[in-house]
Amino acid sequence: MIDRSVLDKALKRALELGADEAEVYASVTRRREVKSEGRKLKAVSLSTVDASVRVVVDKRVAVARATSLDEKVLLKAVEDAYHAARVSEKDEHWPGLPGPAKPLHGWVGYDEGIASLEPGYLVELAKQMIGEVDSMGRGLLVASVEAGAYTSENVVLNTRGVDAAERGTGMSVMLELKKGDGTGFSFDVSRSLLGDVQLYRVVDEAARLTLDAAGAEKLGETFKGPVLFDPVTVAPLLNMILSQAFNGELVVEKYSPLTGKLGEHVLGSLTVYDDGTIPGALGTSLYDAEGVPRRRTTLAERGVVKGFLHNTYTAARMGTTSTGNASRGSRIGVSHSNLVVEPGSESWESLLGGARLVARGFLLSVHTVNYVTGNFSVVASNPYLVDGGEEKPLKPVTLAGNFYELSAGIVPGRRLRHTYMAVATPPLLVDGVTVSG
Amino acid sequence: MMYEDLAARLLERAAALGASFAEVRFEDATSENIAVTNGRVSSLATTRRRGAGIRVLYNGSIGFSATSDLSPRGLEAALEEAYHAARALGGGDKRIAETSPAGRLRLEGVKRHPSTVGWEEKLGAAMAAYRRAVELGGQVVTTRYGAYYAVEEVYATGGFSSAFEKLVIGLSASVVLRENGKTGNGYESVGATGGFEALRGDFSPEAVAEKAYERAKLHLEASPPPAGEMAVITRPDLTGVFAHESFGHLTEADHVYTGASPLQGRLGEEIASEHVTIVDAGWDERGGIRLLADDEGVATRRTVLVERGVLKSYLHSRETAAEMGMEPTGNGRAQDYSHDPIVRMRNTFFEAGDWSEEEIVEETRRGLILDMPAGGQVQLDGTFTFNAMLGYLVENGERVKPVRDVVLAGNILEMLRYVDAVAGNVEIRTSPFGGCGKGGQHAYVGLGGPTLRASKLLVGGRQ
Repeated sequence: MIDRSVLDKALKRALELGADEAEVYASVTRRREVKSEGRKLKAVSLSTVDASVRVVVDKRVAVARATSLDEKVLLKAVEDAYHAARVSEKDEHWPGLPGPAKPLHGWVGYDEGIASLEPGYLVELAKQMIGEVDSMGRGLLVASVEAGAYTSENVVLNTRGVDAAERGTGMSVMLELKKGDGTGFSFDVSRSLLGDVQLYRVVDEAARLTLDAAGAEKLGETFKGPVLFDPVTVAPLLNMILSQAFNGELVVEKYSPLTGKLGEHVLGSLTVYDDGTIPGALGTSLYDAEGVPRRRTTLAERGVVKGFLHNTYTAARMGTTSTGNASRGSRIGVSHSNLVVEPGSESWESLLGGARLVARGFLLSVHTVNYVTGNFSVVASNPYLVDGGEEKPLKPVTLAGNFYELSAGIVPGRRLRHTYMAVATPPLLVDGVTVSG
Repeated sequence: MMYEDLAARLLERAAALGASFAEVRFEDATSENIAVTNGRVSSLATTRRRGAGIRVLYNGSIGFSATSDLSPRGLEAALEEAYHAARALGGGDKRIAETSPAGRLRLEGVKRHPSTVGWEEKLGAAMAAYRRAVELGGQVVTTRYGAYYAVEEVYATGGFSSAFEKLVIGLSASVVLRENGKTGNGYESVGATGGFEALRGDFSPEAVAEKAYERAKLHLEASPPPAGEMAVITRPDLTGVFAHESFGHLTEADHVYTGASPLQGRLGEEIASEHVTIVDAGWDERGGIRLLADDEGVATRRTVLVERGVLKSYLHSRETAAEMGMEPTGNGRAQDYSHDPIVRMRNTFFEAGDWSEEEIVEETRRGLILDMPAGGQVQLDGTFTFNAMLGYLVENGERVKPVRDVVLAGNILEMLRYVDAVAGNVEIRTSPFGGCGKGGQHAYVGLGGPTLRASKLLVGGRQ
């Protein structure tokens, strides 16, 4: 358990020094992981600490972080933050830290089954995945395998009375295979214990993608047409574009192309919301990084912009209240909790009927997508050409377009899938994508 | 060396537990970050990461643990965690290559180390860049100052000990311009291993702002290029990403000994055109980050990966060197004390050729000349991607029209054969803001090279 008395001392010290307000965040994570280079396993078992202090002096804000909850270290961080804040520039928009509020839901993502795991369980899972691959007898090479579990506890306290504590667990398995010049990758991630069912699905998916890729052919042309994206494949693209475009800080600072577009129709028929209260979802928690309760926020309704993601500061800048989307790194920013694209009514099969290409696997270079403009130019690792109802595996192809220009032609499928980026999306059929390979 | 006695006791304890090898790495690292967004200080932060990472080889299996509790009891608990993790794997055949330690090394010639400079001056640098960008006409502007510095001590079985410093300091600017429904987005980022005195000339706040603004202006006028295969000329910044993504990653020996890299078993083979020489070095006088030792305490030697088209070497940690019966190259790097060392690049660059950039452009009938990298990625089948935000369409030796936002893709075993012209203008760059991600770990790296041309790359355009 995190020792509150040290955190209280840190707040007290900040006020003693002359701070107007202060906030302290402490997080302790215990992580166990079995990973590999090829078939050779390696085990990691560690506890890490993230202590972060935000100090406000006359509307001047600074943050200092450390990796220990030792009193001396924490008090030093308070002093560092205080001295840095004093020489910063005054921010007339500073609204003050948030006050206390009760959580809006009761689901706690903490699984005793994960918390009490012996490291041997993860070793067994990793070995089991390798064994499954071998038993297929298809000449598949294990490039890497991973099984991991974590337990975390975090607390936010501030001088306005916020006292938000929670704990959580998570688990993941991953497999990357190779055969000839084909590769395939699959994973699963969950807040609770993963077992055989998920493990077999991961092995089967990675094996299928790899075997298809090993026999893939080159597209050999360039066309503009409809591409059907698997949910797992398109989630990072949505993360790069939508999560940033609806980020209140990027809206306030005019980086987002949605700045000034509240009430305007810009996203075709898509309905998009953020919801930090979905039971079982990866981004669900009681509070955000400032101790503000998580909630559901509609971002776009049938393509019309309805709202943005906010922390306390960005909300005040736009004359609204925090949506419980504060995030924390070296600064207090904004991020989605669970970003959800609402499913439509079409089945995968019916979407496939309208597609010329299916994008599975992942999108290489998706982290380079330009959210300021919505332009994307990426490479699909495991594409399939749709030809007379048949899917023919292709070598990687480039996919390019502008998300906003294409949005009118996006058709969402019926089944929602939660993915590892805390983005939940159905498959999306996107027309007008330029494909080349 | 601060931790010599603690380390000695810990290594003795590891031997008593039956570990055939143990290593403890103490690291005290500080990151400083200031951001000014549209005139307001949007970030003013310092992060200190101080702790120890412990690696144990027991019965042929490797376990790793870490702690920020540097008391004898805290360290011993972490050692036991690592030992139990290794034991849980059962027996294995992992080994650690013998090598000599880098010893005690200091960064020479650093005049105004960021730890000795006040926040006012650091904020002043970010503000100066901001003011210059706005003065030029920047509409949405973010400027940053960043620094990372650390002291590290590594002790391992067999009397191995090294102690060294790390440092990178830099500035960046991003400018957005909007006109008639079009958006232009430009950035510039500079970095060096040096004190505050490094932030002058091309690395001054004003110069960084000017470069970002110029690029934003050109980006505003640019349109998406055609799609398909064509000749691509990469300018030095972008050539560095080409070296890193197209090639560097697949020379990392953890991908090689497992059979996953397409470069496995190809040492001595001609895999690129004769114009191609690629180096990965701990440092180079022409720029980049200066890494004295890796995070296993091994000296960073200059590793020639490709020499005039022939594959010469892989990049190794002590673990991968043992797997392949080769020498460690000083590429065992960890993000911080809480991560285990894995094989990573340092400064990766193409060496100079004898063309000039203008000659290359003049000799290109149709293609693209590209700049302003936005990162990239590679996968184990040899497919690599790297992205450019800006450039020109070249026709009959002339830059005819600005282009933007494009992915370039190819396959490692084909693409380096298509490099047919290399200029002499080598630049090597680094940054405290970006870096390379692998296996969930971040690393500061240097990238570089001259302007060069690949006669055929797949361009993810839109026409």
